[in-house]
Parts: sequence; structure tokens; C-alpha cells
Amino acid sequence: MKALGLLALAAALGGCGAAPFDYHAASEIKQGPGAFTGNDGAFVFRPGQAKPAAASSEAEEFERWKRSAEGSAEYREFQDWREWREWKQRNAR
Amino acid sequence: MPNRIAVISAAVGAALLALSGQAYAQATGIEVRLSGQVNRAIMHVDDGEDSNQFFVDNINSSTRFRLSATAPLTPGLRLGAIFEPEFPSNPSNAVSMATRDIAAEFNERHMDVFLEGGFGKVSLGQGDGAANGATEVDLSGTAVANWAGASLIGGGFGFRGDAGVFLGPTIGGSISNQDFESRYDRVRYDTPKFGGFSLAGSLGSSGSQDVRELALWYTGDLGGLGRLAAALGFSNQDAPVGGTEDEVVGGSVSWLHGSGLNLTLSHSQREFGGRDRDFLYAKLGYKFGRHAISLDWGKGEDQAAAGVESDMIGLGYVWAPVAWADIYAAVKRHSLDVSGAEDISLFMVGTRVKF
Repeated sequence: MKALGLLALAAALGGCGAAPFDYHAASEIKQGPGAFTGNDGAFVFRPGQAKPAAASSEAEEFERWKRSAEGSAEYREFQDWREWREWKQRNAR
Repeated sequence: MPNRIAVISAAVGAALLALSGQAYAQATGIEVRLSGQVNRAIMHVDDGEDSNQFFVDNINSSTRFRLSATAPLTPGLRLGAIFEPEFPSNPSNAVSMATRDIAAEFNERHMDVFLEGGFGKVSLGQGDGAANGATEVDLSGTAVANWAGASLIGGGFGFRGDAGVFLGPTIGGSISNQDFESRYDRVRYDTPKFGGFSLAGSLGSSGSQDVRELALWYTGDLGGLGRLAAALGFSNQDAPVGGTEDEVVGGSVSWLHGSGLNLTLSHSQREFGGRDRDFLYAKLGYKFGRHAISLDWGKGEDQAAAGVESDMIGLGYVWAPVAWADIYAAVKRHSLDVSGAEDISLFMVGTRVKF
């Protein structure tokens, strides 16, 4: 019955619009970083991800290039103009 | 003919591309994690007649490793597995004046598969019963040094009388927190959280007897009032031939104020062997920066024998200089309410390192 009292207290306080949080039992392995495992807190393996990851990073790289100044239409026009100037100088001689 | 070959090749290529895309989608979600910890301490014990040092594995949170894997089955549905054995050498709850060294051996903790989604979580295998830990909710930050599991440090030491003879009761046998059926082979279901509350139920077998457990868990962030966590549990184990049922009701609540001040209470009542056995526990603590300190008190009634009480008072301190290490110290004194019984004093310093 005392235990019920404990829970009633929790429920009463919980009724005050409390937001839930993730409780981590102190007897379990600590959350967060590890001495040898860095910020992951574990040696992490993602089987079968190496090849797709490369494809994914290439796609991301392409997207970054498109968004960059080098990927813009203005930049390509500028490059065309520079090539034309060089061609013109070579043919002027 | 060449056109037909080209069409078939294109179709096969497209199919392979689609299949590889599907395989990729599945493969990318699989994650395997290997983690663990080592928790070692030096413990000094004085039982009123004899005193000695012990190099122990702190069973409040034992040395272990964990291999876990999870993968999405479909959007919103995950399948996972946990393999976690412990490997304690000289367990702090088992060493005694007569047995200072106990060889390490692997003990199963979690050998579990689970499926989780919007419906909650279903677990199958060796793992926590629904109520395991319900008397041990603790937000103090000092649980690795002192907590409701009072018998996990020094539980193997026996009380002596005036003449130095052992009276029979040990710390473990006189002041257990009676935390239900611990871990066993079971099927368990956890509901999603509703306003901080979740319900768990498990059915399984332990000690060759059927076991059933129910528990209500709660967590709430109260803003300026701090954080509150609580649990209430029930367990029942069938009676073996010639024995009695084992039934436990209990719970705990822990409150951590934003200032660092914290309070933890625990209570359990066990009906077993024709006797009601009680456990009461209270802890007052303070967390500041990377430090936490607490004073705790516990009492076991009718556990060692009908009418016999056992008390404990302790002080714990934990320093976490980095996120992956705890350096701790604990001192406590156990008393048995039997005429002529000597107190048992324990002092322990140690460290828990997560790798």
C-alpha cells in the first residue's frame, strides 16, 4: 500500500503537465561516449552500407556542386567566355 | 533479334537495379553496436571480529559487454536483438571472510530479440521481467556507489555474535530490496508512453516455475520542479513441489530538483514461505557539476527470520570526470536486530569505465 502511495505521488505530480523523458537505469551500461569508442559510445557496424554510402556521397557531392557557384549557369558562361578569349588570342597571331 | 536482346537486357538491368535499390534500402538500416564496461573496486570489510580487503567487481553495475543489432523491417517497425553477458570476478555480493576469491564466469543478462513500433515493444528471450528494477528507480547519480540494492555490496558477509561465532543471517539474507524476479526467459510487452506512463507485462519461467509480472512506469520532466521517475510492480512465481508461491509488490520514486537536491524512496513487500518480508529505503542526495553525494538508509523486516530486523546506513560519492568514467566511494554500516550481533562496516572505492 505504501508503494501505491509512491505512485499516487508520482501521478499527482505528473498531472502538472510534465513531459516524459527517457529514464536510464543506473545499473545498465552508461549512455554517451566510451573510452575507446568515442562519441558513438560503441563500436558501430553498418553491414552492406559501404558501397551505397559511396554512391550516396557522390550524389551529395553532385548536389553540392550544382548549388555552388561553380555549378551555376553564370559560372559556365564565364568559363565559355574565358575559353573564347584564349581561342581569340591564339588565332590573332 | 538484336532488338529483342537489347530489350531483354534492359529489362533485366532495370530489374537488377530495382532489386539492388531495395537491398540497399534494407541494408542501410542495419546497425550493429558493441559496447561494454569494467567496474572494479577495493572493498574493506570489518565484521566486528575480523577485517580484510577484497578486490571485487561491483555488482551494482557489473563488468559486462553488449552486442546489439537493430534494423527496420518496414517504415515504423524495427526488429532487434541484444546479447549481453556479465563477467564478474569476485562479485561484491558474494565474497565473504571465508571466500575472498571467486573465479569469473559468464552469466547471462540479456539474450533477447524484440520488435518495436507504434504499438509498443514485444521482447522474447532472456531479459528483464516487466517489473525488474521497479524498486530501484534512482536519479541521484550515486547509484553505482549506493542504492536500493543494498545487499549487492557485501551481501555475502555474515553477522557474528559477541563470541565471534556466525549467527547465520548474512547481509544479503536480511536486507534484500526484493526486486521481483529479475531477469528470466519470458515474453514481455511494453505499451507506448501515455503522458509519461507506460505499462509492462511479462510471462515466463524462472527456477523451473511459471512467473508473471506487471509494472507501471512513469517519468516526468516537471520544469522548474525538476524530474520525477517512479515505478510500481507486481510479480508472482508458482510454488515448487512442497513449497509456497512467491509474490512481491513494490515500487520506488525518485525526484531530482533542478538545484541538484534529490530524494529517492523505495518499498517492497514479499509474501513467501509463510512470511511477509518488508523492505524500506530512503536516500537524500545532492548533485553538483560532475559530483554527486548521497546519504541513504534501509531496513529489512522479517527477511532473515520472523521478527528479525536489519538496518543499513550509508554514504556514497561519485565523481564523473569524463562522460565514460565514474570514480566512486561508499561507506556503510549494517546492523542486525539480534542480541549480541556485531555491526558490519564496509568501505569501498572503485571506478566504472565504459568502453
